[in-house]
Amino acid sequence: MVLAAIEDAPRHGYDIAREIDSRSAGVLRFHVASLYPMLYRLERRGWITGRWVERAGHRRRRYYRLTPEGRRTLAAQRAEWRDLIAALTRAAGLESA
Amino acid sequence: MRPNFHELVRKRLPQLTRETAHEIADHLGDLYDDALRAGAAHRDAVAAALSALSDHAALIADPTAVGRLPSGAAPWQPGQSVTRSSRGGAMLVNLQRDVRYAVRMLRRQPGFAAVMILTLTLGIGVNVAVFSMMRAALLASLPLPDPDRLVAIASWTPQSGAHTDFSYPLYVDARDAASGLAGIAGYLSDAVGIATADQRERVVAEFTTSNYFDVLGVRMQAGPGFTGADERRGAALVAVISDRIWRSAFASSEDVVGRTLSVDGQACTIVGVAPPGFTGFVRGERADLWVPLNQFFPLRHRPDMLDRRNTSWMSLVGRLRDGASPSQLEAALTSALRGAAAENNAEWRMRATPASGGDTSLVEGLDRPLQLLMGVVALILVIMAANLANLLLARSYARQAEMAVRQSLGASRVRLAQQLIVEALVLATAGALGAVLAGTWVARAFEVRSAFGSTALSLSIRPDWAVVAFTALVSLVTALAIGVAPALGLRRVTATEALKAGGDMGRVVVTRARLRGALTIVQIAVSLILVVGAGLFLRSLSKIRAVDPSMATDRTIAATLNTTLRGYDEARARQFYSAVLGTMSAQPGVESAALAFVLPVTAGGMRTNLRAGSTTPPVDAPIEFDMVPVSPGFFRATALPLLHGRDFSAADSDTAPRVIVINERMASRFWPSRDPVGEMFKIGGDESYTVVGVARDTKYRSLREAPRMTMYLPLSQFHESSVNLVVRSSLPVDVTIAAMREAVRRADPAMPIYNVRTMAEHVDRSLYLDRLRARLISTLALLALALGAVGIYGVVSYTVAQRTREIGIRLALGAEPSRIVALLVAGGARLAIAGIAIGTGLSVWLARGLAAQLYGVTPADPIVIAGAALLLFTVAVLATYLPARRATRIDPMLAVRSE
Repeated sequence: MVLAAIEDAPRHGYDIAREIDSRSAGVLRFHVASLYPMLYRLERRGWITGRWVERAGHRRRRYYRLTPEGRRTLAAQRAEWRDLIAALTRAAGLESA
Repeated sequence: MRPNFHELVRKRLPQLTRETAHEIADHLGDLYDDALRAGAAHRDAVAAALSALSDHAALIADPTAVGRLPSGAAPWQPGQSVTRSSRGGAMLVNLQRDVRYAVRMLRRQPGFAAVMILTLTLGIGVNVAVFSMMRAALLASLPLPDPDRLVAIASWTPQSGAHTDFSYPLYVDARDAASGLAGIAGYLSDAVGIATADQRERVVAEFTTSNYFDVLGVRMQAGPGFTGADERRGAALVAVISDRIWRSAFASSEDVVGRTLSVDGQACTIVGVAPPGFTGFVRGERADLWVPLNQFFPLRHRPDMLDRRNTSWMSLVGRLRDGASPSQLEAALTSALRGAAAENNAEWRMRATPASGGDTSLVEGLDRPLQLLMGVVALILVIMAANLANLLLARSYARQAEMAVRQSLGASRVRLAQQLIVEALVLATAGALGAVLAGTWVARAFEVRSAFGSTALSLSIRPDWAVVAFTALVSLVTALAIGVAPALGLRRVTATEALKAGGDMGRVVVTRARLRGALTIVQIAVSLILVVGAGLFLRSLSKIRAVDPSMATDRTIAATLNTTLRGYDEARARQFYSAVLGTMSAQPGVESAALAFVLPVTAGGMRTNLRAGSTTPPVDAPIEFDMVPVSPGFFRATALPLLHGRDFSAADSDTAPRVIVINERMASRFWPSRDPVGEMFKIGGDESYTVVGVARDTKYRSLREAPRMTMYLPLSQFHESSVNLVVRSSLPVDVTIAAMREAVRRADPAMPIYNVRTMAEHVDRSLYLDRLRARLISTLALLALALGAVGIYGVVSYTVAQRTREIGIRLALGAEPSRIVALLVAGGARLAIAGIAIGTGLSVWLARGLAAQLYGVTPADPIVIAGAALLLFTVAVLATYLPARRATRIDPMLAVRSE
């Protein structure tokens, strides 16, 4: 989910949290204290990188983006999700038969 | 006013790196801004922002947040007030978290936790119990200063091994010869009756030389102790009491020194109180009294025994002086004593062996049985650990969803494995605490007896550092073993698998099942080993029981009489004996009544060791035989056949020529081709006897012994003050016993008669150790079997539950229930066969070490092994069948729909 949240654009921590929150319609919410350690872990794994960015008129903030390996991981996990959904759908289809 | 979140974060969490603090502060700032925008008041917005920091444990545990600067960040400014936690600090915090988390998880499942902890307490506790016993019996040193300087002194020949008895003159020679290298004292122990004005008690006393306490290094609590003159003939009667006696009989009074105590009827002056904790030098005995040598009862009436060189009756202990070594002492003693001991065996020498644990003659026989026991309980622990690992594995499967989510959120497998192991450690610690308490309690309650079997050994069992260290070690190893199993079962679980809880697809399930199967095989193999062990000992016991002692065990009753308790001298004792025998023989229904120093099948007796060629007729090897004083009628009373010649009679009085009756083995050794009746038997130059009869061999010390030579002498010519009255009668047992008591009472109303037993009981008692071993191992083997059965039952139940849906589908599709049962049973049987095969191999290999303890049974006895294998297979199949049957009652409709 985190990987998906920064798929299309680099984001900073607060934005990521907000993104997941809105995409899941409020079902998933992140605590500060668990979000950042997780971001750091993903960074250590090499799936995302973080950079401090200074923009004119804005405070210095840390932005995270996907690495190529991160993109691959995201794709693989997406594929598995698709398989699961399909299997569940099939099972559900059987049931009603 | 907008709060400075940066400062706030840095103050609250100073251990964060500057960068992380910055990031967090930004986040909080955004939270604040959003709250304001949503219409909250300033204070509420601040609260909302700060509440995000409330559970920051994960944050301060993260190595990036705390450990190092991310690349490309701003360098540290001097004077920054942020403290950096080290990696180690992070690990410690992790550990704390894991422990707290584990405790929380266990509190939520108290039933599960209780089962685990109880099982651990049992498994570890039993190990602690046996280890405590080993430590008390064999391993611990005596509470003396510098116990490593103490040595036990013995003479030694390659033919007959070590000989620990010395005569008093030989002791004096040894003490003087070694004075530069070591202090040497002599001692022996015996039971005595002590009495004060208002208390009587039977205690163990050590009869010692006057330098005994000095040599051992024991300092009196009160009083001067022995002086040099105390051990000599004619010295005043003195005694040193133990701390326990001081407290119980003298109420720890200050003036105990100088008061008198009656010891076996004689008044002794108390000259000292031993320190608390000192209970003598003989391990397994608790001595409460120390008395100079010359007060040893036989010496009271034969004081010249002190000067005789050819009577060996005391043991020696030495304390090496600084700088002296045992081998130096041995050399000095050997050269000095060779002449005094009149040994012309060139290989005879003296030995000084380290004796920091005291005199181990009573506990020597325990080392093998205790080691065996240790091995057995260790195996039980293995089985229990396997059971627990299976339990934890099952539980971790139930938490699979939780694990998977955590993994997908970035938790590493290592961290999760760490946490599982910490959980196991928490359980094991709780179990260990219970185990130490339970273990020492069990060890104390368990009465240990020496090879002599007649008295319980007194072992001081208490939890000392070694026991605690042992418990900690065993607990740690157990915890790691059972924690590793579920940790191994963790895989890189993906989100899809996490949501397939309960499904029967996926490699996760197979890995778990394989692990559970492996654990079950281990359980079965170990159970087989224990069952085989039990079978071997049971078979061994039955073979020993079947040994025929060649004498009657029915209709024969024995009791012990000790004339020293009444202070008799020899003349009075003889009178007493003949009075008792006269009364008993006159009793109608009594076929024969006699007295004997020792009965057959009694551990202990009077033994003579002679050098080669010292007898007439001579034999060319060293010899050893027992001497048993008996009264006339002994052979009839015990129904021990006399093969040639005659029994003793009244004619063989004290003044008549010396006669003996020998046993078959002795007859064939000394007179191989003739009837020895009428022949002369001479020992050395001065002791000569005429052989008047030959008796059938019997078992003298134990049913298992190899044949030995025995010489019976008339009690009238070789007086003993403590004898066994043995009566053969056709009356009922209790009537005979009553008659015996009456006969004794009539001869002396105050004479105690004790240890009343039938010969059958007497023989049975000699089997005490063997029976105990067999019973213990059988019980433990049954426990192991039950555990193994439970293990298999669990695995199969679990499989059935897992595969409910699959089974349901199959049933719905028309499969025969019996086929499904057969499938499951076959699976269980496969595990069982694998376990049995491995167990058989291990049993054969391990049992070789048992050969010495078995009788009439080879370690690889095929009947026992086949029986054990069959038993285990049956149990396994049964344990498989029961849950398998449940599978057939699955409603297919419900099964398919269930998760």
